[in-house]
Amino acid sequence: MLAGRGKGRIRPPRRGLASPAENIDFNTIWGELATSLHEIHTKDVSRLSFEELYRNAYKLVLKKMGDRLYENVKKFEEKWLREEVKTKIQNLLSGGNLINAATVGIIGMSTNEKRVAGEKYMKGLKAAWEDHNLCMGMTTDVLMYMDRVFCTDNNKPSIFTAAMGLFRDHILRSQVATEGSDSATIESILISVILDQIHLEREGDIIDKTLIRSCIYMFEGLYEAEGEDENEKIYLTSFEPELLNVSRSFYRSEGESLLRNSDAGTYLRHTAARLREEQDRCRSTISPLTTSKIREVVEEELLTRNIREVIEMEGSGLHFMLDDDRMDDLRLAYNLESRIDPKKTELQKAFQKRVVQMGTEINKAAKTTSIVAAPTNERESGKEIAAPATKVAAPNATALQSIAAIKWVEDVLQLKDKYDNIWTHAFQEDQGLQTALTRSFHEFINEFQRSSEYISLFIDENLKRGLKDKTENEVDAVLEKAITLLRYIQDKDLFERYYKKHLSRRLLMGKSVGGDVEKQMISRMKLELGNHFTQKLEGMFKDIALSGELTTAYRDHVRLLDDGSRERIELSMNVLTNTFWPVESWDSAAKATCIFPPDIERIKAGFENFYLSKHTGRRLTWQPNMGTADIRAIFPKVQGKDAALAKERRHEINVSTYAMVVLLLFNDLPAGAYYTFEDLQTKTMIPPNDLIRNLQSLAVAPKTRLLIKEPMSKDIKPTDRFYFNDNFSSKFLKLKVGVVAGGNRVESEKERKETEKRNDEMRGGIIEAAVVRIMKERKELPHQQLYTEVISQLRFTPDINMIKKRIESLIEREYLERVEDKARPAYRYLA
Amino acid sequence: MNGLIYFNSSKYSDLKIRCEGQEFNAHKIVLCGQSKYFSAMCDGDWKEGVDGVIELKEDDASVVKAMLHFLYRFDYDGSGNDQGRVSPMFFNSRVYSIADKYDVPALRLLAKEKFEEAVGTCWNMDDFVHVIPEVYDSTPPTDRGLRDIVVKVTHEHIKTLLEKKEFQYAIEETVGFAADIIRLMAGGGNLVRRKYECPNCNNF
Repeated sequence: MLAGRGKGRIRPPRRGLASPAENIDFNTIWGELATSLHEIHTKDVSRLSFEELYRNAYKLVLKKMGDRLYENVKKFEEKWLREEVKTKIQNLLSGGNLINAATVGIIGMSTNEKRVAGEKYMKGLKAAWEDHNLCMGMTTDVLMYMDRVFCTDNNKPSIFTAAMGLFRDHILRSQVATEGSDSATIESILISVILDQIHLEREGDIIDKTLIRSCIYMFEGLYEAEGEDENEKIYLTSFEPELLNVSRSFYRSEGESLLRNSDAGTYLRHTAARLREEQDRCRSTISPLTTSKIREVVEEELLTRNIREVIEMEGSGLHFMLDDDRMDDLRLAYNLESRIDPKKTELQKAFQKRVVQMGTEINKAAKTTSIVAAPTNERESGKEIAAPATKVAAPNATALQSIAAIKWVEDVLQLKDKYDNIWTHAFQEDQGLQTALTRSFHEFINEFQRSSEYISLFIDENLKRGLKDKTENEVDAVLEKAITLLRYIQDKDLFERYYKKHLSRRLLMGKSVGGDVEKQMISRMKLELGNHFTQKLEGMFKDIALSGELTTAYRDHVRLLDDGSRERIELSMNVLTNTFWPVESWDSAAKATCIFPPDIERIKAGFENFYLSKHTGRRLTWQPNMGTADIRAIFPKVQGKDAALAKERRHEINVSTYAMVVLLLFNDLPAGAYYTFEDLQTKTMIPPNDLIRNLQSLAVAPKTRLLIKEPMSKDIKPTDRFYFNDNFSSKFLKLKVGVVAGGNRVESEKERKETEKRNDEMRGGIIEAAVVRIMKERKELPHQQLYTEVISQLRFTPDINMIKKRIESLIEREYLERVEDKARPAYRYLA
Repeated sequence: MNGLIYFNSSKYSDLKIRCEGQEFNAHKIVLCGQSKYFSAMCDGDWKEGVDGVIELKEDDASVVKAMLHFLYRFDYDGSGNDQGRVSPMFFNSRVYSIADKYDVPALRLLAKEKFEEAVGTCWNMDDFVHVIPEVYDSTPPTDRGLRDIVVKVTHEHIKTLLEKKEFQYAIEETVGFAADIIRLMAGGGNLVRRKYECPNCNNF
């Protein structure tokens, strides 16, 4: 079949397209192609031969007629679009409603009419677009060789791209013949129709999402230029900006109306719903490309613009949500503000404000109770009756105050629980909000002058022996929390002072629940406040422990010496290191002294010898106001009276050391004789206040009336006479004479002032020490720097005046001098 | 397992290719994967897709067979032996052209190799001068693949070739061929590409 077959020479075949002899007539071939292209566009394909179309196009390109082919196809497409497709779309616009809607605004059209007309228009465009794509897909297939060879060699966009550009220019961007309105294009009408549908959906209508999505696909598939730059999609250049504009004004006005008509919770929920909706809309109806942009619009208009007002909304804002524990709303508020402000400024501000408000209210309540209690306290002081039973029944002023103190701490803890809970569950343990919370507690706790005292008292209350209403674990939990309150206290030294005072009473009066719990508390404090803070407290425990050993050692010592001549008096004592214990708070009113009866004096001397022989160089000071004594008393038969008195009665009575001293005096007194108050005072030298208090316990309190007072009254006067009560009887073998004001309680205003004064004095010392320490090291230091360094070393907030005074005093005593020649004031250390 | 055995096999065949009265059994999966021409044809609603028959008009049956052979077995016989006594230069040039037409890039490369080898040995034969117009007519002018080979060989043996009368005709009749020779000679044996440099910005 080949031309050369059978001959001696091989001839090249002279047939087929390779043959130069075959003349190719462009017009003939193009005529065939154009007919076929038309059939493609009218969807009459099944009889068309791909091979033939391809071959024809191939031939033209091979014979260097690619450019003519390319241009002819473009012309063909353009004509098709202009004459066939656009006419169809134009027909959809008959009536002109949509054109007006696009250019003038929607007037006089019902929602339904609008939707129907819009859908019809969108469907038409969608069909045109899909047709165009389909036809161009087939055309491109047929013209594949042209695209591959001609377009590539000549840097022309593929015929498909070119055809898309034609669709853009001759369909979308083409003007629509209208009366009156000037610049409506098919595109602008489509955009306004889509935006209108979206508006309908935002208003709660149901729209054809899929249809809109198809139209959006068209915008996404078309580009501004043939380069098909992803940033130049018509979707991004034409549609999206309009969408964002319309959405912005929609949400701006929605925000305004919501502010007017809704409460904060509704506002937030609505906003959250809108954010979700828009996200869904981008996914299902518009384009994921817009998700983040539309989110920004909603966030800006509904959140950034209004969040402050929403949070501050009267009666429903954050204030209300916090008070009402609206966890869901709070969480929402947090989540929403987090979107626009990583610091959550507004939330933080409102949160802090409300916490401080609540705290201040607690403070106020505690103060009110104190004020109510205070006057009675003043009036009744000195005439209290040591009868625990009545205390519970009708709380007296002091007790009331203590209750107020406990209540204050409990309220604060409750408040902390509440807000901690909100912080954990609604605010996702946000760092910034935690700081705000801490700052708030710090603020109102330190604003309250008695916070240190109250917290210490609260701990005391929980560490006291014999509390029945809480289990051990509960107490533990409460204490754990109380400790956290310490974090907020600024003047930790003052707290230490109170804690020492309360602890000392617990330890010395034997009221503490026990060493373990106490020590656990100390180690908690150590964690919270540091080592130095608990040193003295630990010293106190050590003293108590050593004292126990000492007591035993002394008892053994005495037993060895015992000759049996006298009835032995047992002595147990606590030897306390002066600097560990709050000694000064025990004898505030007067120096605690008294003249001990000879027996006691002998024991005292005996112990002193014993102790000082072991620890030379120490000085023992006795605190008779802190001790108690167990005495055995024998009451004689009293004839002629009732049976209870008819025989001798023995009682073991626990009294204070002072009361013992008083009672022992009556041993030397003949029957029927008496002491006046003045007698007692000269004989014992007990400070008058203590004496009065003890005599009240012994002669006034009905159940422990060991003495008879004449005349019988509650008050003690210097001329009152005291007799031994021969007629005393009690059904109990063991008695305890209550000591007035024995336990820990709230300080009176006067006491508190004194405590503060003492604290200030101590602070003075600490400041002075700090100044000297710093100056010794630095030799010379500017004024300001010295202050800064001093303050940084202290664990309380010092009064600046106090530092000034201390420095002046140091200058006076020639530890420091002012440096005169410096421009800025400075000090120099004098060795 | 072995797809190679299905060349022209009716087993699983879902497509027939007709050319010059010959019919080949083919498989869409084999053809469409390697040629966009066949995939576009089979994917659309064209007559060929509906009938399951592709009539390749204006192609040589032997060349079509070589292409199919390649599509199944990744090689073809380029010697021209089973085509009677067709020159391998001709045959491979035709295969090159069909590979370009139906977009089978791998076949194009192979055909080019085989063509170069054939020309290297057969340039002094009589039919070389007929290969020249064949090459210049069967591919678009921008396709340098076979043109460069022909020009290079011609340049190397120009003196010998000029003595042939038939060669003189080829120079005169084949558009572009003489120009290519001149460019090559001017470049001292190096092919100078047709390049357009923009005088303003030096871009092509």
